[in-house]
Amino acid sequence: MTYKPWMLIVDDEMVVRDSLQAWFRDAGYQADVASSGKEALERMSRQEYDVYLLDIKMAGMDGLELQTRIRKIKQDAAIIIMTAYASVDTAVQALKQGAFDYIVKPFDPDDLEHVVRNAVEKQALQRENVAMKTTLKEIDHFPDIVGESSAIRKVLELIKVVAPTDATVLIRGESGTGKELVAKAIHLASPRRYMPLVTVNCGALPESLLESELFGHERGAFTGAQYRRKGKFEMADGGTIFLDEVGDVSLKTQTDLLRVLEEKQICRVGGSRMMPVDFRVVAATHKDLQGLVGSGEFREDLFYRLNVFQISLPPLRERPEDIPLLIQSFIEKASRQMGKVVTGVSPEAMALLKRRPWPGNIRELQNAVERAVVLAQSEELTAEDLAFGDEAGAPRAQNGDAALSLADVEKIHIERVLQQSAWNISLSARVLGIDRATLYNKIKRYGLTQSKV
Amino acid sequence: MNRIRIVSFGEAEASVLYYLGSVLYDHTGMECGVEDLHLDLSGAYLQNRHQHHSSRLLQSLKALDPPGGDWLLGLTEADLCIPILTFVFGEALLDGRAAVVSLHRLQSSFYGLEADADLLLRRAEKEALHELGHAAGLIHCRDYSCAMAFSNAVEQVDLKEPAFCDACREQLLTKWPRAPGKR
Repeated sequence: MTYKPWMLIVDDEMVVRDSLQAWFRDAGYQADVASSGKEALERMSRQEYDVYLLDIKMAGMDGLELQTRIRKIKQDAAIIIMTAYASVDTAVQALKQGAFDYIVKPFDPDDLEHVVRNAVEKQALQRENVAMKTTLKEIDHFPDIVGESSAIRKVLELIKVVAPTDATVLIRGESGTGKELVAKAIHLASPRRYMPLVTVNCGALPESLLESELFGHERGAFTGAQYRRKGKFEMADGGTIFLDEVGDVSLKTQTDLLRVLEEKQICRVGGSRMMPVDFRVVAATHKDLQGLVGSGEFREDLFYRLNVFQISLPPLRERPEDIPLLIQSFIEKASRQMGKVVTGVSPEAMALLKRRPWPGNIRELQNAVERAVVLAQSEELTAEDLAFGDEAGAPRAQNGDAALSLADVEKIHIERVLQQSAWNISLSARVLGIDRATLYNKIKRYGLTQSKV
Repeated sequence: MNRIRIVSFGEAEASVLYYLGSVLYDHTGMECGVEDLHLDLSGAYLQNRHQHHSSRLLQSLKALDPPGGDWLLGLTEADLCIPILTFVFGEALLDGRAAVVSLHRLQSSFYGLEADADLLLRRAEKEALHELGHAAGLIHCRDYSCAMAFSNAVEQVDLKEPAFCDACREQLLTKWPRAPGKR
């Protein structure tokens, strides 16, 4: 059972005590409240607390005095002073007297979380009186990367070698070969795995929003910016930033990226403070970056900064021996998620699957299997369940289809998939390869209703 | 079988209400119904902060006194806070089957960006799952990508998945047999 740290909240305002206590409980802490310094000291005789939150202005014994009294009982107590703007000077005085930190009411949730987490960590370290233990075990198993071919074994070896280092990794491979899975495996096997892995789809970033997207912005940075926004680099602090499709970015963006990769500092748009950020970079591309450097479309300095350790992913056609294993893995995953009992593939269906060239690689194979699981009527996937565009049982072009607009075709196809899945939004979205929200908005846009079908 | 009753405080974007009605069934296995009930917000307004007090909205929800084990999810366009925090995305009664979610800071336009209807639905789905998770007794999770991770900024909402980590899912399964695990 994980230890839940104890908080003591001391404030003479009931609403503050109640809302903080509820917040701490939701956050997984244990929290007691006291309405005065005297009550707080009484509580201390019954319970040992990790962190104390003291209101500075209270009738009778104020926060400063209470801090002194607590310190006499527990010298290393982590005390956070809560103050209104008017009494920040007093809070500074509290800091001089050994308070861990102070926080101004009403609290920004971000600040509260940071201050409390830091205080708890400090206490935990003191209690254990040991240096931070490195508990990173050697991870030699990557469950999301499936295959036994020599090509994929080599990839797994490379991941194992590079993951524990902080080296920048460049992953190369055709679309659908699993570049994001490799980035995830590197992150999960690294000492940064408890911090976020933040993906930036560089190809999808519109130039106009790029700065704000990457670096964030301060409130009022431009018209309509009512609140500050954190950028991707800031979100990746302590973790890994995955720059997907890095070969698609414009030269201007390349300059911005190079600067932040070199300086490891960012400044939010409209802000004046440079903030240090600690991230590891994993980048991926389906393009020949070296070729792009030669033609002047990719900065050479950025290329060398990214190409520290390269992992090349083989296309599926170069490792056909992995297809049955991949299929089995996708069937297990899909049937578990859909709550269906599908356990295998008929020999005819397997032959069909093995024969295809899979230009869309693993992603295409996975979509085909998931779609087949949705349609499956028995425990085994059959050739009929695999509705390939060029195979029997597949949706075929109708006479007159050529006169339809793209939107009409999309509408008809969405309607058909919804029908097949009995209007299950999650399943239909998976078959269509879009997320639920996008599907829902398309249903609304096309005016599709269940009764109409 | 218990169900989730989805109501709005004042007017809330109908597409979000109906979207949640459809996906929460997939997530929880409970029937979800959007009710044509626009609860009054005015009693929760905090004049000095131009925000609404989320705990008071929760009290109004509980006052509906749902029969048996029905769950209540309230949605609002209003900006919510609790007195001690500058804002909250939502609030729930821990293990109390009632939750409220604000769409205010989930909209891209709040951050000066172009409106994005798909993104709003995705964020609303994650926050609804998060608050309903609290309402089912779950506390915050350290896994940044789990629906129960604490989000103090919308970018952290975007990092989460509309699904639970193994540990949180395990706890939920007794209440929601179809609680979604991460892909």
